[in-house]
Amino acid sequence: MEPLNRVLRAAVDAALSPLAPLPPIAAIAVVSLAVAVAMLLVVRRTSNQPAIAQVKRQIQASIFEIRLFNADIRALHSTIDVLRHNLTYLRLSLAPLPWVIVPMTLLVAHLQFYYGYEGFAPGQDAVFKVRIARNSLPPGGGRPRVGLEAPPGVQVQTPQVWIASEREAAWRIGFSAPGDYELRVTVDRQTVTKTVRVSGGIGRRSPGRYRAGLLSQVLYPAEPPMPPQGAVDAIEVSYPHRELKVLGRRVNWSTTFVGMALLFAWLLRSTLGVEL
Amino acid sequence: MTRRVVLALITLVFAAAAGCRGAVHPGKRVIVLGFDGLDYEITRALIEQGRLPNFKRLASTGGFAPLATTIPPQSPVAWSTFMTGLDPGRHGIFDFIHRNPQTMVPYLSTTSTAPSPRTITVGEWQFPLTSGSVESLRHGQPFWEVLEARGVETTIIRMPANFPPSGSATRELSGMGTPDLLGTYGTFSLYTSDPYAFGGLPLSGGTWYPVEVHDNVVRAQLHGPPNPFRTTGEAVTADFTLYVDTERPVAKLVVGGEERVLAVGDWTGWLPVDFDVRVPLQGLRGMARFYLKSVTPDLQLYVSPINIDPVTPALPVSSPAAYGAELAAATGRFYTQGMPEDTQALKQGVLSRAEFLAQARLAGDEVRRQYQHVLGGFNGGMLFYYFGNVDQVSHMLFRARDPLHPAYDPAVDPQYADVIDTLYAGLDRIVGDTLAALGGGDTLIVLSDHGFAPWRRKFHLNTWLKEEGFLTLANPAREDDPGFFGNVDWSRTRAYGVGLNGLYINVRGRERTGVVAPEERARVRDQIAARLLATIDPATRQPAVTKVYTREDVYTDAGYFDRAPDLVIGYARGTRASDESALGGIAKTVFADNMDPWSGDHCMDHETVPGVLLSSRRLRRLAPSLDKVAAAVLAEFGIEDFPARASAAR
Repeated sequence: MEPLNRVLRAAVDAALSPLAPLPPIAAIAVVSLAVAVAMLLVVRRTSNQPAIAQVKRQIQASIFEIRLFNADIRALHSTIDVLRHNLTYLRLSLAPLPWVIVPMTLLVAHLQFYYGYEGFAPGQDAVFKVRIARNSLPPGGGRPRVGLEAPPGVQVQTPQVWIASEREAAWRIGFSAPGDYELRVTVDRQTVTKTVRVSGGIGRRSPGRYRAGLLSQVLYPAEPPMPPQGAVDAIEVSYPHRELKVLGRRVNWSTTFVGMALLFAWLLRSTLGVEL
Repeated sequence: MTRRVVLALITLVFAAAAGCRGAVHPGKRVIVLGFDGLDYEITRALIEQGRLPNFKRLASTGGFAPLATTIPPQSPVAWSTFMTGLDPGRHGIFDFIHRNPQTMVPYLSTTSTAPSPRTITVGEWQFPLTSGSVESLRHGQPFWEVLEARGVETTIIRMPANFPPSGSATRELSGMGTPDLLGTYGTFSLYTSDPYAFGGLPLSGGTWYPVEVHDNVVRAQLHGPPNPFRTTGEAVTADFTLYVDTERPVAKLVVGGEERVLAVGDWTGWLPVDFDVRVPLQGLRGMARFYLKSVTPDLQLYVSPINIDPVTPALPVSSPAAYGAELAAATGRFYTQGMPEDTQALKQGVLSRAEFLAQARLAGDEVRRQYQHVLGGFNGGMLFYYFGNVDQVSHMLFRARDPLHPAYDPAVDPQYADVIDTLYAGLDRIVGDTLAALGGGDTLIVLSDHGFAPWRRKFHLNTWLKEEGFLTLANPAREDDPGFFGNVDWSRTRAYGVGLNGLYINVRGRERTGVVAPEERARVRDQIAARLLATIDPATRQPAVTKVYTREDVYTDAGYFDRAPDLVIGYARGTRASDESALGGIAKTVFADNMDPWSGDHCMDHETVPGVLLSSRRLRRLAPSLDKVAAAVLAEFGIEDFPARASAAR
């Protein structure tokens, strides 16, 4: 999975880097437009377009029939027809799903790390957590020896909190200068690193680095996984969630993305000759 | 042709007149900085010492003078007078605390809240059909309404006694008088693993909760206001978890979706707190700051009063409603409670002096950051901005500069002796930043509502009334009264004290249990006044009271006399009514040394605690007293008719 993620990270970085100067809402609009066009092309290619057009006409005809004969027993038949045609429409509309579900899942997973988190600013602080692998705990449930080293620009502001029930060591870290940093965590002479980005712009931010595994690789592709037999299960840093202001309301980036993509798809369907 | 010319001329005259009533002095900027509690004598001394160079600059270019304050010299009274240009008789705020003459229960004078009047009740559940209401009890037209009516944009930030915001300024953020989410002026919480903390007794101004640490984990709840959907009055709660490291002085806090790591002595920023009202799709959001006092031997976690979140306010704190969120987005969430410095926590010993100062500094920094943002965006019109830090810290640390104070500790106090002066220097930097932002035609006015004095001696007014025979205890065997007149025999009581300067006659027909005939009121009042002025403090051998005013002497009756005290007492400098007496309590002795951390005050003879007035240029209109300042501000815009005759005559 990681080789694929590595390729995807490079591809998404290359595709999104021209959008970095744009405000997040504008960048999401551009991405939504591109995704809408791509989805329309996939739908046109993978679905039975004539059948979709026909079943939509059948639905309209049945609705018309209900309005014309609403005092007649035929209205009941027409209502059943509407339901039946709708199911057919649903089946035909879902035909492209196998083609888009995997790329869309991967794409959204990557985009989340671009648009889902605010960057840290100098002067801010964050919680830095390390979850220790069960087999790396000292026998008898003692406290493992966990060290954290921060480069210049990042300060470890508190002593370590050890939370035995969570197998977690946590610190507060602070930031004094913008930059991309790598913090080193040492557990039982094993060292792993975690990236932390201190910048206000749009860019890939990884709130967690996890032990290698299929699910963690799908959900957290922003950073290479840690060794499967290592002493650390996960390292997390608490980036603040980004909220966009759309029409005066604060919304999640993904809601904006899906809404815009649907809107663009609806607007462009005729231009691209796609029956939806 | 001639007719057309005449018509055109008439039109021009009307247009010019309309223009005069519209934009007044377009582009002119007037900034008014309200420094609560800035004392004239301290300011003068610090200017002379060269510690306030920007104040000195103001004094040389515009003027520096004492500003006569209101009777009584209390902030809600004084700021209400400032903003309306009216005396308390006309704006209706006579004290921090008023009393309901029907129940004799004291209440906060500036605001009243009421739940929704229409609800559907199903068993123990109720569903409000309309929202509850919050009403300002202050009357009179604030001066910014006049400016707005003439087309001048106004920004009013943290004006005391302006909650809820009037809605008549272009931008408003409410100030002193804004409650916390519980509806109080600020109720802190302390979570401790010491089951014997505070002798097991309740605290004033806050609540302590015993918690247990299981496997280094504390699971507890924050307590909010009563659940509006329940008829049982149960409080809403929000869970939090604290993971404690017993080997190191550090802990991890989890509140909702937020996590923070705190070393002992650390404060969090504002954390949103979502209370569970147990109704789908409904919620109640507040916010709080946490402070880890200690981990061992006992865990102690202080939680600030739950403030109204300016991002999603449960009660209106700004106008327009989104302005609070706009400020929060610019400079971060901020204390919305009117008086953020947690003086009660220091009084109760929950915060030490150093901890209180750290908390006050956090609150002050928020205000300063926000001021820089507001000043940066101020392009024209009138800006009022209030700073309350000096007032609240002066209350708590005045004794550090007063070796004559009975609680002065020569071993500890000298290290705090310079704190207030340092805060004055901070205000001087604010003045400097403002002067740097001013243009040639702009005006800066700096004022304070009152000065400060040491508070060395407590005067238990209700005890004095008892000893003078005007107040009778229901149970004489019990010599005192814990408060709210619980031990008063109203059928044999002719006068009582409520608030910090107020004394009321128990008048038949006005008070529910009144015994003094209305025609006797003046005689009893004058008798009390004469005896008060003759009262000598046995410790100082000086009069305890230097002025006593009747309400008829100093206020205009505009229909609010039902809430006005019959006598307003001006205590001698250094003496003040006790807190107990202000809330209807009775102590065993009339006088006592003030051993509280609250060691400075101003609720005394108003002539002994004047405020200050400075300006960057000579004002067009003189303002020797607080009630004249708003008129002077309007005069800078060429408006001369404030307060409006109708309003003043009421």
